Amino acid sequence: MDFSISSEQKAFRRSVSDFAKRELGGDMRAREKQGAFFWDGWHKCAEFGIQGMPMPSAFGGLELDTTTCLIAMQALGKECRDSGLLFSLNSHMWTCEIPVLEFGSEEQKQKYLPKMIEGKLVGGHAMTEPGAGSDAYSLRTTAKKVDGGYVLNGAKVFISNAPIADLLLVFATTNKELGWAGITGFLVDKDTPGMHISKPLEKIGLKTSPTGEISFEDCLVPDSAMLGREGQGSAIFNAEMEWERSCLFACHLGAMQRQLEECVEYAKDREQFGQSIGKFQSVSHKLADMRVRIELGELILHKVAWMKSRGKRAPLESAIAKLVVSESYMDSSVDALQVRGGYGFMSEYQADRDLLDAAGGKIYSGTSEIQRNIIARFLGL
Amino acid sequence: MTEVQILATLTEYFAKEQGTKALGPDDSLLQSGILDSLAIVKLLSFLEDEFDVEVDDADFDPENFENLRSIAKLVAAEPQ
Ligand SMILES: Cc1cc2nc3c(=O)[nH]c(=O)nc-3n(C[C@H](O)[C@H](O)[C@H](O)COP(=O)(O)OP(=O)(O)OC[C@H]3O[C@@H](n4cnc5c(N)ncnc54)[C@H](O)[C@@H]3O)c2cc1C
Repeated sequence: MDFSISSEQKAFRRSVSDFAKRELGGDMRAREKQGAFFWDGWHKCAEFGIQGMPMPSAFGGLELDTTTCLIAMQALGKECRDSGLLFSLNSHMWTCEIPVLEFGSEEQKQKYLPKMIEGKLVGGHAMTEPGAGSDAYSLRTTAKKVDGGYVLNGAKVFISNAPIADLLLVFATTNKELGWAGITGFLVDKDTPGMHISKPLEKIGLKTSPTGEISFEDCLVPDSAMLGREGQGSAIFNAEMEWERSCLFACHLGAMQRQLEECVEYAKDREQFGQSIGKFQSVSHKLADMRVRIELGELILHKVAWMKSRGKRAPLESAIAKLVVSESYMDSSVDALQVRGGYGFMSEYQADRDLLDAAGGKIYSGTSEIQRNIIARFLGL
Repeated sequence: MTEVQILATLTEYFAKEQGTKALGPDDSLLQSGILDSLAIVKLLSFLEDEFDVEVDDADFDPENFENLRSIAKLVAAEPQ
């Protein structure tokens, strides 16, 4: 394994960092208070090429390898404080664009990919249901074959981007008796009669990324809306989770780098008992632990990217990566707050955002417990 | 590797996974629940490592995983 980064990759990382510093700022607190999506940032990302990073140039993408995408997401996570925007970008890219690319027909790719890459269409994916969260494949949304298409009935919850999405990848069962083998994906356009999307739900974190509920009441979609074949839903879902569990969490790694830099600076400047607090081992060891978490998170994410670039599956490694990075982000967010003492508790330092983002990261893309279940299963347990 | 050899390896794999008596080549894996949603993920990684085949997600079809014989057929047909 060679995880060294080429000079082209370093240059790209620099340009992503510069872009994020220049264009993805603005008044984040105000947007957060209003729960406003950062449309300007979204379109600027599209102009830069973010939404098209892993996409073939034939559709207008940058055709970057997995490692370069990962490095870029890490740079965005470090320089852009609008974690809601980044979360929405991730949902759009890994759980909608990638499935269309990997499983879509030529017609579906032509119809959706160029516009998704240009940022003109927003995508999301709808798996979770009120009664089917961790046990995702026990979903109850049905897709019944009728003349000329399928009729969807059911309900979805916690769907990222739903209130702003133009296209949703909806998972439904075409044969309940088959369990996971009966799950099928459908690409559903936002104005399809019978699909109702709620207003954004109020969340404790990721406030600038709209999340909604969706209901389907006799929602007729044409045969051409099916993504892949009947029964391929689990393969689609597993493929997108591998992407999300690596690239989305690269943003968290970037946020952890920012956190550490700020904390080191603070620990050097802040003096108590006649010396900088960084001289106290209990403080410097926290910072050392934060550094260790970044290093280990980076290694496992790069391993997943390395495997994926070689066309290998990485279900175990991506579960480990997701678990390590999400839990590390939580631990480092708690440490970052503690190192700053009372100042860290004041809104000005925005430690709340990291803490709550980290808490969300332990839930979405499969909870920490589910990642441990996957790892345990690979142990033969 | 021939289909027969693949079948033998798969039988061994499932016996170890299940910790029970060996499965017959035509025993149902899906309807019986032996191949649940996590078991299939693990099996796909095993096929890749053991037989050096790439079972492309886009070609994934649950029917190919109905029993040991259908999996052996799939692996034998994949380019190595
Ligand atoms: C911010 C955010 C964005 C999301 N975006 C999307 C999206 O875009 N699309 C989508 O489809 N879903 C989305 N989700 C849903 C997310 O995937 C689910 O919330 C998650 O899978 C957990 O399901 P649940 O909330 O029903 O919790 P439950 O499954 O009810 O779990 C509750 C608790 O029980 C534990 N638990 C459950 N089963 C087991 C087990 N077998 N072993 C050990 N512990 C267990 C869980 O780990 C958890 O701690 C999002 C969630 C959040 C928070």
